[in-house]
Amino acid sequence: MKDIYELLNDIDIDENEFEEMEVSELEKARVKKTLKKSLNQRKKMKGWKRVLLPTAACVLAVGLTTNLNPSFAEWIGGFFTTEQVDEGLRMASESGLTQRIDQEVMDQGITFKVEDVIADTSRVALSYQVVKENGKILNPQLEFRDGKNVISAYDQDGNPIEGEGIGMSWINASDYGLIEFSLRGHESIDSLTIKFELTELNGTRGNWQLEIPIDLKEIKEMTTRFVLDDQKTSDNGVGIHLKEVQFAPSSNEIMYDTYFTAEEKAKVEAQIQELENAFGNKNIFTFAKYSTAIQYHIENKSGKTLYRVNMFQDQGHPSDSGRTQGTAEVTGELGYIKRNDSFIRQKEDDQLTFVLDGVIKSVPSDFSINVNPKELKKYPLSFEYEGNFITIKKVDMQKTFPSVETEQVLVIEMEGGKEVPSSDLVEWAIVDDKGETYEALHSGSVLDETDENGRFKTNTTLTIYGMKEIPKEFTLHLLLMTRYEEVEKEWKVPLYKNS
Amino acid sequence: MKSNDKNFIRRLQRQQEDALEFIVDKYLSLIKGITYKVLSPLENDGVIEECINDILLSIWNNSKNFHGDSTDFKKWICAIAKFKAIDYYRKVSNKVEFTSDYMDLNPEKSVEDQLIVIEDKTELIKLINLLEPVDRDIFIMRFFLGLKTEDISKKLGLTNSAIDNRIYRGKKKLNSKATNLNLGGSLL
Repeated sequence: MKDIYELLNDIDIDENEFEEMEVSELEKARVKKTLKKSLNQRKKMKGWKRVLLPTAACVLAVGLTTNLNPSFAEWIGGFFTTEQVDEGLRMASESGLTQRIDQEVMDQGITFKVEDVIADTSRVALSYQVVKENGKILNPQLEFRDGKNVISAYDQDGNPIEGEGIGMSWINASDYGLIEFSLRGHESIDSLTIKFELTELNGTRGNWQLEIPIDLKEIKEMTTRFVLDDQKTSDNGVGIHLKEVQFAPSSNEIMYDTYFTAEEKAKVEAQIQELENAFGNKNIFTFAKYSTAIQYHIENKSGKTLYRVNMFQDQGHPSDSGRTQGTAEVTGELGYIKRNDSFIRQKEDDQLTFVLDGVIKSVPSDFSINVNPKELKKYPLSFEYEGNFITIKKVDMQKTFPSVETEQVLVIEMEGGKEVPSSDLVEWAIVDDKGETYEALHSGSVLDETDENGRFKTNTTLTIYGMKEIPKEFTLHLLLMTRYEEVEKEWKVPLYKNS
Repeated sequence: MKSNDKNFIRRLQRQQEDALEFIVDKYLSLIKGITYKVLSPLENDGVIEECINDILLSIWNNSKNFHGDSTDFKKWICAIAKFKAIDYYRKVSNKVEFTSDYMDLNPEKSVEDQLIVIEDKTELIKLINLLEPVDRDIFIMRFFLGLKTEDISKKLGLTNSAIDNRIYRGKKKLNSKATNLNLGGSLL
């Protein structure tokens, strides 16, 4: 059955018959604020699904924690030589890639000054300061909401550079701010211009505009890229094809595909068919959720692990280390995903080797359990499935958004413990006592705390739209789960040329 | 990280919040225009504000049900805005009827107000899915988007009487299905 939003696609409506109405900036800001509030209420509980989002694009995460005296930074050669930036930027700085810009603009007695730029084919980083007339250095934090301050980048032809990753960071009580643009996917750019259009600094309104041109032609030669020959393997139904690596002065990048093996794909397709037969092709089957991924680490020539991706080790959820960004492009083929991970460079990163540790796949499931909401109060319902020990605590009708008059939703609350490693239970549906199927929106989190059995504590909420009342009885069906499987045989691929 | 004209639909479907902000910047004036036109007779700004928020949240929550390019997207949000505004109009005006003679202020409601009074929209949509595609479109245009017979006939290249006929037959069909399914309410 199509829902109303799907049906509305088919309606040929003449958008010109509608009149626009004037909207002030204040009104826009107010609407945005209300929306944010509503969305945040739901986001609180979202957490661990992150790992297998079809297009997980992490913003550059630059961890700045230490403080440093500014005069000291200047004395020793700028912000990029300090401990406040990542090792990749420091290494690039050491190899002479820092360009001292010292471009500044003053208004309202406040100067905005860009001091240094580091650029390579993977990213551009700028350090800046906000300084008062009397020389006092102000908090560099920039406010980007409501378009108060805009920082954008353009290529040599004036086209804006779109990136998943424009990262900005500053340290409270420190004197430098850092702005980073990711250039992933823009390897062919010869030069770019960074444009600052600022209207509020440290709470003062004004106008500060700067354009910083950056030449990348020579820098490009410092990046090496090579194709890995026929590096393919498969394990537990997941195939991996390592394709290419790139080494830039400040970061390394690895490009690879993950997919279902032919046999696994046939199996998954058959399972999907079974689910569709059982539940009808409802909204339950949204795009690209059947996917593949891998766990791996990269070690250097002495066998020391420098980077880890999707690793379990001691946690109830996978974690990364040393990675700045990972993107995944979903293709038209079931479970086939093109991936690109990049890593901040580290000092000892010569002769790197890729080591596959495990495979991850999101596949259909046929697990189900009957629930009698009334009895739950007396007898909480517990079950165990693939390393998850879960108790259904509560089934309740709740209002969707307190601020908006909308329908009520059925909410199922569960909590429990999770072994390491164990499957993630991702998507659920419920079938009520009349045989009607509803999609259950899943959100949940894994805590870092363990319970008395040494399992990581979890809580999960399922939200079901379209139900009018709590059914006397219903069946909870798990539709999709993510399985983690260690590889049987270690697979190593050198990421350097044997010369 | 920013949404622009080229990528905002994709970003919206990936649930990246800046896409929703982009939509507010780009389409709020249109959404406001549509909402006002339907709801201004109620003289209740609070309802209009709620409705606008609801429209934007619906766009966010249902982005994956949208198919097409940015022209289609504009049409899609116009349709959602109109549908939501009418829905709010019905809900609110039904309430005020009991307390005042508010509705007399708006005597020309006859055509648009031949409403289907099944309370539960989900069930109504279920029923509409049972119709032929052409009839389905007619029903949605008429009852969810409040279009007049003449406008529908222009869009679909059918005569007024053909549209009325289809609506009559459609209602009959839905009525029998509704009775079979024991749904509450009735079709006027």
